[in-house]
Amino acid sequence: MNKILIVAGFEFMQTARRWQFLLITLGLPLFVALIFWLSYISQTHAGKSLDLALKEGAKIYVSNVPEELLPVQGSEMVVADSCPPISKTVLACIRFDKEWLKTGTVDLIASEQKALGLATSLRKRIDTLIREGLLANSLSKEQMDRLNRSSQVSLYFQNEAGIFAYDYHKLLVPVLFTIIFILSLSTASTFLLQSVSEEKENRTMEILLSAMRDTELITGKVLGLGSAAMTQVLVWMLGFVLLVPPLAKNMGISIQFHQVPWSHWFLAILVLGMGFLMYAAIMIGVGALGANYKDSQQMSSFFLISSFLPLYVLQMVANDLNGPMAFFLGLFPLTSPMVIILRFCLGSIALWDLLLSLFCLGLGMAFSIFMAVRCFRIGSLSYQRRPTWKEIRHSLW
Amino acid sequence: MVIQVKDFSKSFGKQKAVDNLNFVVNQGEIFGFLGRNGAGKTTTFRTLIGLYQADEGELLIQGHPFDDSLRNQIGYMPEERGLYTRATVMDVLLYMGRLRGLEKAEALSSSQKWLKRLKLEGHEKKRIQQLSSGMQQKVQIIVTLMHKPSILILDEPFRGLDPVNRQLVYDCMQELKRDGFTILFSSHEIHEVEQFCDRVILMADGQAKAYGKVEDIRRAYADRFLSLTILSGEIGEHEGIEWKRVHGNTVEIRYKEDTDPQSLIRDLMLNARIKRFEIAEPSLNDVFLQLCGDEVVVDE
Repeated sequence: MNKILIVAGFEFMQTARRWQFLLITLGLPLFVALIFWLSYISQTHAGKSLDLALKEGAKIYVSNVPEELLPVQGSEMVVADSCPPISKTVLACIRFDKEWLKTGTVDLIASEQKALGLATSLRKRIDTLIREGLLANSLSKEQMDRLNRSSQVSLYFQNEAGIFAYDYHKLLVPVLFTIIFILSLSTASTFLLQSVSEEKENRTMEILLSAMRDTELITGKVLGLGSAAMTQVLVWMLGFVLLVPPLAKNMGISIQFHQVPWSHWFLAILVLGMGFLMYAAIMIGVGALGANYKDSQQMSSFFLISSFLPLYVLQMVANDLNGPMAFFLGLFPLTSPMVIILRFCLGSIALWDLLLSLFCLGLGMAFSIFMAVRCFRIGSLSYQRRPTWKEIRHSLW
Repeated sequence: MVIQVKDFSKSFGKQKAVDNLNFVVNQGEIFGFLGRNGAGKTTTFRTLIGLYQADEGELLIQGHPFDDSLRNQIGYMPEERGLYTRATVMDVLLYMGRLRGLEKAEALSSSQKWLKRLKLEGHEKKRIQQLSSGMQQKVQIIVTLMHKPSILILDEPFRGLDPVNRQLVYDCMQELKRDGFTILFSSHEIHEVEQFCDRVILMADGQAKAYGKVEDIRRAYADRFLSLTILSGEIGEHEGIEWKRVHGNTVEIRYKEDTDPQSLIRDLMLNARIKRFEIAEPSLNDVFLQLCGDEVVVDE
């Protein structure tokens, strides 16, 4: 155990001290936050600059629209037969087609610099004008106001027991799990592949194996590099946890983490652990078999694509959580982690079905570890070459 | 005896890497493994320290098959060696020392002692990749020795060393021998083996071709061996010569079993003026040539 911890500590520190690790761990959440902020700024900037221009006395000239349709308070809009030249005081001209109530055709004229931004920020006003023009004599003012507001949809689901309000908290664990699983796989698999391949390439492997058992080395690596990957993912998740509630609030959804059923968290941790161990073992085996890092990377792509497969067919799985696609992907160990969580959290999976999926995942994990140790034994001392199938077969049984 | 190998055989697929090997290494001796690449030296070493399983036979260290309790008593330097290039010298030494059973404080003091001994003081915080290859080799040597192993297994320890570091390893080995260490090392450079070893084993194609003290082996193969010093002319082909080697004006000859040496010398004197001749003891290289049909020396 002592040697396992020494290896784990060394691997963790060697990875965590790299500037690339620190940059990605701390930089990625900052980068994502920056993107969100920029996107928010860009969205509001056009509207703000429009409001600012209007406040400063700029006007929007509108043609072919009855004056009574213009908002009472919208004094910035002026009806005119023709469009004056665009200037500081003439922000834009909206030229409605003569048959605009039939065709909905509208020309927007603005300076080249502001045309795109104004097109976005004026679209809602133009749509409102057209809607109000069409329904001018049919609806009351209250009805017209209601029409211009967006709808309020509440989601319910029905089962044998009745109709229930949809609990958005059910989505939380599957979403979190998918993000954590994919991120940890991507990062940890890179670390593990790199570590085993590097030790094989720089010839430290033989010295290490003379000092400890191969199983100790493998376990230490999985622990150390797994911890490094999890540290990275946890930092990212912290960013996620800080970012999601305000975003959800904007969408009208209130997220309370404590309202998520404990069984979701428990299963997620169990499946994450099993899935992670399975893929870690695969990456170690592949790292040892590859002639070098690039070779190992190519070999590992099959397994990584398999782990992401449920994402490609997510719609099909989510549409029928007890259908054949969901059932079989849940049994196949490489794809089962994500599917088990989806089926359990979002649907009503039978207990035998859940236990069978977990059993298959456990079997896949045990088989991967067994294969990884064997492949490690045969591959780790085969310098600059990939062991032949015959050698691998010979070492297995 | 510290190491005992009995009837050891190992194959990889259909290829027999080692075939029925037997030898013992005694306490405090330097034992040399001599053979070309592919002779079975590395396979034997790797099996001794448990990296490979023997197909047949027994490999015992201090009377026991290799197990975890022996790991910290052995200092192993593999033929294919390297270090974590991005880690610092001290990180590597502490890591390797702790894996060999040293406490952190012990690993630290042992590292400092060896760094001083090998003139690497002041380089502790440098990354391995910042060191010259000679310095990296010294770090490698420290990694092998820092946990005070009683048995050293060194696979081609002089390979790739510059003359300064070669001398350093020579000195270390002699010092360790004086301190009672048992050293088993392999080489394909015959002069090193001849110079250092108390006893040797000559291997070719996975088999032991000769085994024992260097002098005994040379003496055993001293028959039918002539050393000639010539003044002029040359020693040409002769049906009685099995093989010959020419070093300047000295020619070493092994003659065929049915050849009369006096007639042979008479014949050779027809084409060359011979200043001196003697029935000499062959060098280890000559013995290897005789046993394996090829020279073992690659880098002279």
